[in-house]
Amino acid sequence: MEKVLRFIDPNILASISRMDLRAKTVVEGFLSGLHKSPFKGFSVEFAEYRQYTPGDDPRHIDWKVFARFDRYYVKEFEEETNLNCHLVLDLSNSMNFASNGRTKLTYASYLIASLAYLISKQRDSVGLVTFGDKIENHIPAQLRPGHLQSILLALSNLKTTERTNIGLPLHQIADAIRKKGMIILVSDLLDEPEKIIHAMQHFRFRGHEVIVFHIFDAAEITFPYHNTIKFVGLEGEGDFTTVPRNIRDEYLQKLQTHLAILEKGFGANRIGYTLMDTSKPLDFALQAYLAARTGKI
Amino acid sequence: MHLLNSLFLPIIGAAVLIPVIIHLIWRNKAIRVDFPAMRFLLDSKKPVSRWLRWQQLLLLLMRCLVFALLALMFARPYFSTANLLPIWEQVEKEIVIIFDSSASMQITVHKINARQHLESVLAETSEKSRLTLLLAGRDNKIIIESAQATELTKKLILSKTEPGFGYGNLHSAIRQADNYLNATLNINREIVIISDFQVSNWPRHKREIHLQSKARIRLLRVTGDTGENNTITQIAPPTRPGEDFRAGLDFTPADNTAKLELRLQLAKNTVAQTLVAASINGQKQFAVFKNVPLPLGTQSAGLVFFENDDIFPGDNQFYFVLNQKTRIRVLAINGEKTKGVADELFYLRSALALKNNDFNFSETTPLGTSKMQLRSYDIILLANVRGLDQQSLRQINELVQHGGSVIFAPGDKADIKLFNKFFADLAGCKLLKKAYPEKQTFTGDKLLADDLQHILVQKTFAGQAGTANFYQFWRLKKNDSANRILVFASGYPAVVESTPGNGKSVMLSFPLDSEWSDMPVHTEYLPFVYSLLQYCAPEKHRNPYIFVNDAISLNKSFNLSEDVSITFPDGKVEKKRLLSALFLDTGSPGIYTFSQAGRRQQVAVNIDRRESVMEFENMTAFQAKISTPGEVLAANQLIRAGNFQN
Repeated sequence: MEKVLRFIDPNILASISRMDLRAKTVVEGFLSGLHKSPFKGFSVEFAEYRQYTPGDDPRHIDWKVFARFDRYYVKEFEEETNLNCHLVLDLSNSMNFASNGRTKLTYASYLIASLAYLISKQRDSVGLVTFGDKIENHIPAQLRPGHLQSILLALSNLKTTERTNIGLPLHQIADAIRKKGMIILVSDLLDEPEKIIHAMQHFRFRGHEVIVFHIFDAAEITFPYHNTIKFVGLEGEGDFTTVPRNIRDEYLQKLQTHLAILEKGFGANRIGYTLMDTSKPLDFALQAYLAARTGKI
Repeated sequence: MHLLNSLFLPIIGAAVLIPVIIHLIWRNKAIRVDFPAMRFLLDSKKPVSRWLRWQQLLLLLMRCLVFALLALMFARPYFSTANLLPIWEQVEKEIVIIFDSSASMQITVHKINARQHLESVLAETSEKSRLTLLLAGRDNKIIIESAQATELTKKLILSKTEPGFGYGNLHSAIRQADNYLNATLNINREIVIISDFQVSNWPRHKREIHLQSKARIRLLRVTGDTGENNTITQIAPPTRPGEDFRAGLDFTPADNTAKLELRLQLAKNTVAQTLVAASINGQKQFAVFKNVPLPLGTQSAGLVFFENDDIFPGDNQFYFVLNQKTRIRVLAINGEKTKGVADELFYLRSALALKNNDFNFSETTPLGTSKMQLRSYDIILLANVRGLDQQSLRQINELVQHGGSVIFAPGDKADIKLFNKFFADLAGCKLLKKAYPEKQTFTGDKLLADDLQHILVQKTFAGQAGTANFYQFWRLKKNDSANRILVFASGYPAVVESTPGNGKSVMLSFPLDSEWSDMPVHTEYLPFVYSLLQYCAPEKHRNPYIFVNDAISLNKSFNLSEDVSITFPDGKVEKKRLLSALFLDTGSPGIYTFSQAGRRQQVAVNIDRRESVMEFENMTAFQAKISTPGEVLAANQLIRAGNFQN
C-alpha cells in the first residue's frame, strides 16, 4: 500500500476531479512514506482555554487547571509559523504545450496544489502568485482555515496569457513580498536565462529562500519529431517548417546550453533547481521542497 | 518518330497524371505542431522549408518522367526511314496473299475488281520473292505455299482464286498468315489482303491483332457496287398441317412502293407465292404463305426464292428440308376386353378419341398380337396384360431397341411370376405384391412427383400432388438403372422409367381404368395420358439448315462401312464410302441428299446471311485493328518501314 501511494502517476491524479483531493492524495501518500514527521520542533503560542468536549485530544488537557477547578479545560494555541511560502506560477502560453495529453500548466497546477497542501499541513503560511507578462493573481501567504481552499480554487481556474516576460513580473513579485520566506517558482523558464537568473537574484537579495521547479515536456527534451513539421510558436513567435532530423542536434545543443546556464546561475545563487518532466510523479517535487525546507540544498 | 502502338499515346497522358494525383493526395504535408521552445528553432542555421518544396517538386517530376517513359516503352516508338523504301521494293520478300473467297465476293464488280488487284500485285512482285496464297473462307486454306514468284506460279494463283459461297473471316485469315510468316526464314515479310472488307468478316467479339511476324501489310480493297441487296434471312416452316409457312425478309429498295414476289417451291414444284411490300424504316418483314399443301409424314426439300436483280443474287433463295411431324401410332393390347366401363381401355379410348390429337390409336387383344406387325407402331401399351407369346415379346423388344416405346399398366389380371419372368427386364422393375390386398373404399394414396424436372411431371402435375385416389396398386422393385418419375404419397413407386434400347419403357404400377383408382374421372387423367404418350413417342430426326462449308452430320442409321449415295445441289450424284458421319464437302448452297439402302437424309445448305450485310469497313478503322512494326531488312539495315502501304 505504501508503495502504491508513494509514487502517484500524474495520469491517475488527473482522473481525480477535485483539486483538493488531488493535492491530498499526493501529500498524504507522500507523507505516509516518510519515517520522520516534519511537524516536530515547531513552536506554538498559548491563546485561551476551552472546556473539554469529547473528541478533543486528552493530551491538550491542562491538568493544572483541572487540579484547581476540577474541570477539564483544553489549551488552545494561536498557531504561529516561522515560514511564509509563496508559490509562483508561470502562466505563459508556452505552458499550454502537451505532447502526452497533459499540459505543462496542468502538471504545474497539480504540483503547486500539492505543495500548498503540504505547506499548510505543516502549519506554514502559503500564498500564490500567478504571472504572465505581469502579475495576474496574488494571494498573500496566510495560515487560516479556508485559505488553502482559496488557493486551490485559484488553481482550478487558471488561464494562460499570450506572452510572457519572466524577468519583469518576477522583479515585481520580489518587490511585493516583503517578509522573508520561501519562494517556489514553477515555470518552463523559456526566456533569456540571464534575465531569469537576475530576477531570482532579486529574491535572494530580499533574503528569500528560492526553489525553482523547471517544468518540461518530454517532447521538448527528446525532440521526437519526424517527417515535415510546421512548428508554430505558442507565444506568437511565428512558424517554422522543417524536417526535424536536420535540426535536432542543433536544437538539443541549444537547449542543453540554456539549461546549463540556468543550472550554473541558480547554483551560484544557492537557488534550489529541479528539472521536472511532466511524466514524473509529483513526489519528486515534494521531496525537493522538503530537502530545501530542512536546509539540505 | 512514330509509335507502333499509338493506342498508348493517350495512355502516356494518363500515366503522367498518376504521379500527379499521388502527389496531390499523398504529398508530404507539414504537420502542424504548436511548440513552446521556438527560441531554439527560429535561429536554426538550416532553414529547410524552401528546399523541401523544391525537393517535392523534383520528386514529382521524376515520378512523372518514370511513368511517361514506361508508357512510351509500351507504345514502342520508332524512327521511320521512308527513304529506304525504294530499296525495299527490290528485295526478296515472303508474301502471303489473303484472297477473300467469301460469298460476298461473288458480286460481279467485286469479282472483277479483286481479279485486277491480284493481277497488279502479281505483276509488281519480283521473281526473287516467294508467294503464298491463302483463301479466306469459313475455313482458311493455303492453296499455294511459299512458291517462287515465277510466271507459272502467278498463273496458278490466278486460276485458284475463284470466290466461293462461304462466310469469310478475315481475323482468322490474318492470324493464320501471321503464324505462317513467323515460321519463315526470310524476315522481309508482307501480307497482301484482297477483300471487300465486309464489316461482318471481322467477328464482333474478336479483338485487335498484333502481328508476331512484324510483316508489312497491304490492304487492297475491291471498290464494289454498294447498290440494292434483298435477302431472305430465315424461314419458319409449319410443324403440322394447316399452319402457315413464313419466311423472314430484308427488302429495303430505294423505291419504297416496290413489291417483291416470293415463291415457295417444294420438290421442284412451285406450290405457293406471295407479294411482300418494301420495308418501312428498316423493319424486319415476314412473307406468309397460307394454306400450303404440305406432304404429310415424309421428308421433303424445297426453297423460298424471288427473282430480283440485286447486287448479290446468292441470298435470293433459302433452301429448307421439311420434317413433317407424323401422328404417333399407339397400339394398346387390351388384357380385359369387356363391355362398358369394365373394359380396360374404356377411358383411354375415350381420351384418344378427341379430334385433332397427335395419336393414331388402335387396339388389340393379347391373342391378336401374334398376327400384327408390332414394329410398325411407335408405342405399345400393355393394359392389364397377363402374358404374351414369344413372337410378340420379341417384336416389342425390337421396337424398343429401335426407338419405339412400351408402356406397362398392370391390373388385377397381372400375375407376379409371369410378369417378372417375361416383362421385368423390359419394364425395368419387378412386381412385388399388391399394396392393399383388400380394396380400400374410403381413401386412397395420392400421386406425388419424384423427379420434379421430368417433362411428364411438369406437363401433368406442374409440381402439385395428384388429386386422384388410388385404392390399390402394385408394389414395384425397380432396377438400378430405372428412374422413378412419380411416387405414391405412401412412398411406393407409381411410375418408373427405363431405357432398355433406343426407346423408352414406362412402367405404371396401376391400370388405366377405374377399377383400382378414380383417376380416369379426375382432370389430371387427360394431360397425364397425353403427355405420357407424347413423351414416349420416338424422337423425330430434325434437320435444321446449315451454312456453306459447315459439316453435315449423317443419321445414325447410315452404315458407314458401305457406300453412301450423295446427290449434290447441282444434280451431280456421287457414290462413296464416308470416313466418318460428318460430311464436309458443302461448298455450294442447295439440298444435299444422302441415301443408302432405303435410308434417306436431306440437308439444306444456305449461304451465311452475314455475307448479305452490305456494310464495308472504313480502311482507317480496319488498320486500327492490326498493329505491326512493318520491319524489313533493306540495304543491310533493319528498318521499320511503316505498318501499312495502301
